[in-house]
Amino acid sequence: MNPALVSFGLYVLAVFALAWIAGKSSSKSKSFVSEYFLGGRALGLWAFALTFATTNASGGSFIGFPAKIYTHGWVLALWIAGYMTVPFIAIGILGKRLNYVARKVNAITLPEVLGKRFKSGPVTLVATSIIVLFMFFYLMAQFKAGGMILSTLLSEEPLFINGTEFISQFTPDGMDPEYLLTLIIFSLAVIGYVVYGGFKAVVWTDIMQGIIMFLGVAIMLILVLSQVGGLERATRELHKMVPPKTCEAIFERTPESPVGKILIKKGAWYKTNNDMVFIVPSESTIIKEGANESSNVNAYLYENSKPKNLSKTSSAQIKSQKGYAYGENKKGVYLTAPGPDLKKGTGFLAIVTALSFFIFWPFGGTGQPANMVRLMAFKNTQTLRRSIITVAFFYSFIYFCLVVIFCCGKVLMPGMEANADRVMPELAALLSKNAGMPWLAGLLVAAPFAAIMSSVDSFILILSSSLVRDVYQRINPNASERKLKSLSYMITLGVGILAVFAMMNPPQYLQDLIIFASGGLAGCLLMPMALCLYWPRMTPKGAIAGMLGALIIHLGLTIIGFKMTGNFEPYDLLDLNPFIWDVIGSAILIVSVSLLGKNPHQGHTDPFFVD
Amino acid sequence: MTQSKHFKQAKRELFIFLTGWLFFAAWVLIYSYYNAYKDQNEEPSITLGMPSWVFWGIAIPWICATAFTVYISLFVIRDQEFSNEEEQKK
Repeated sequence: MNPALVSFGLYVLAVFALAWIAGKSSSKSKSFVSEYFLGGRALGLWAFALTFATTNASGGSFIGFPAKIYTHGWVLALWIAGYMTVPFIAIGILGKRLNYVARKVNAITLPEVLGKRFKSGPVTLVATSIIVLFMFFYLMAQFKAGGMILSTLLSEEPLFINGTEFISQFTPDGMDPEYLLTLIIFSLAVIGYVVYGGFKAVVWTDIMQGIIMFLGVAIMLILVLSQVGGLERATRELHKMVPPKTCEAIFERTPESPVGKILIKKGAWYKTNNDMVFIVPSESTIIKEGANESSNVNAYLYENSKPKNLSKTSSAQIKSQKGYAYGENKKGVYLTAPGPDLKKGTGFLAIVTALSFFIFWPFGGTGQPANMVRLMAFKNTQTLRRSIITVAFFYSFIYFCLVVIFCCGKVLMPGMEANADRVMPELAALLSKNAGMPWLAGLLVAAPFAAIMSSVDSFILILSSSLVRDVYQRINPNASERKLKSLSYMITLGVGILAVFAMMNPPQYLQDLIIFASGGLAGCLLMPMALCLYWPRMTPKGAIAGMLGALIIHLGLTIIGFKMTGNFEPYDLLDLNPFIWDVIGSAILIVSVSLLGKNPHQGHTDPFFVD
Repeated sequence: MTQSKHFKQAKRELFIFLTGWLFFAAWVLIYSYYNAYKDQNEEPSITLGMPSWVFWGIAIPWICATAFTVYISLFVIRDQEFSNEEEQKK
């Protein structure tokens, strides 16, 4: 059996074992809902720090982020630099206040905190609806990413191939049976342990997943630096590289070509008659048998590249070359800002966009419900202080090292621009193979898988807690513990299954969905939650206006962006991330509507601001 | 309304967090604006293996931000007793 698959399988088994132990210990607790959704508010240092860090680092950190580094170069260090302030902003600003008041008013979910602050059902309902709406989009995208990673590992396993053949009999037309099978395997694994173990299982598995992520990055860093010949050498090599050109390649038979069909392989390097090197990135094709047959494919043309494995089965010509909108033939473009860009003539990262990301990472992180829920679950302030330090070291190491790893990876493994989303598993496989340790690829691939799992599990639980606590318990305040227990299991299971059904035919613009959902969540909830904790004058009408106003701005900018580009991407007014406009709009609405209304009832505000 | 000690302390800490964020944002963005957006057609400027602007504009502020995080966690954020409603009723 594939050694990478064995080590990966061991990792998954360890996750299950931890979840099972956590589930056992949870069932002994007396207060089921608090224990199942908040771990009894007793998270210690490692549990709180690592569950916070890993939940925030989703599949995007290990798939989308490496792809961007690979495509645009060192400028991604500037793009991600806001993470240096994430620990003290995202944990510090709300951490102590939120935990303090949530304990004081015995709130378990975020909508409940808002509801108890204003003694208002509509505030709870609006917050719950926003969480359910955006989080479902986010969850869908993570399920798809999990399935993609599994297919990298399993695609050549005979058992998996047989399984795919079996499932293809029941798969409707237009649906990929391989993807469907990986989606089912991934979903069964994650939903299983979340339903069984609840919040505690999620936290315990997050701890292990955090360790795996840390080890994965550390090992990759050592391997890539040793194999590329040091960071300075890699940076000098990167300096010589220029972005590829898109083109059309025409393959023809030569007298030396073999008889019969010729396969033009996806991902293989070819050379033209006049020594231009290109790669066929995304589609395999066949030159049919017959003297004059030829085949046209889309390709990427590379100058100054000397690949080791050139395929020499046919003759090829290049036509209709097209360069990058920014960075074409520009030496050193991967070392500087704004970085090369295929479509944008101003480059990848204008300074205003860099500013908007420096705001988005820390403050967008502060507004994520999955993060805020964790802030309600730590044990005491000593835990909080030490966790901020731990998260700071964790993020500094992970994110900066990822930039180094994939800048070196570009030198070591050129030609993946068209399949940049696969650069993480491909580089892991290459590094392990070169090091003579194929089993290591399983551990390295487990790092992004861990990141996805740790986000999916948290989000399933947020959704189900919102439905159980903020919807069902409001309608039936006297529901028995037993009833709540069975309902919690059922709703958690139902949410997971619903996400799987929604992702059977995944939407085209998946990464854009993630950005839409995470930006929307933070944009709608950050200011209402922050001002609810820090501004006694805020009123329930102000809270609702702030949430709905941000929602309308977010949807409006997305619709305008869609109309302008035809893609599912929001309109960046003045080059600023839509999240910033959501927050500004939300703050203005909360303050103005609150000041125009009456002072809030003192009995409602006292528990939050008076001893 | 007399504000609780907890609330007053939280506001002081909030001010320090936001000031810290503003300082590092200014350092990273102003330094990068003047040094990262320059063409490097010829010999690249490299410090410790990375482009010099990354070293002085990202790596060093990142190290300082981590040191700042450690400092405020140890010496600025105050410990506080937590209780919940059920305990208060008891």
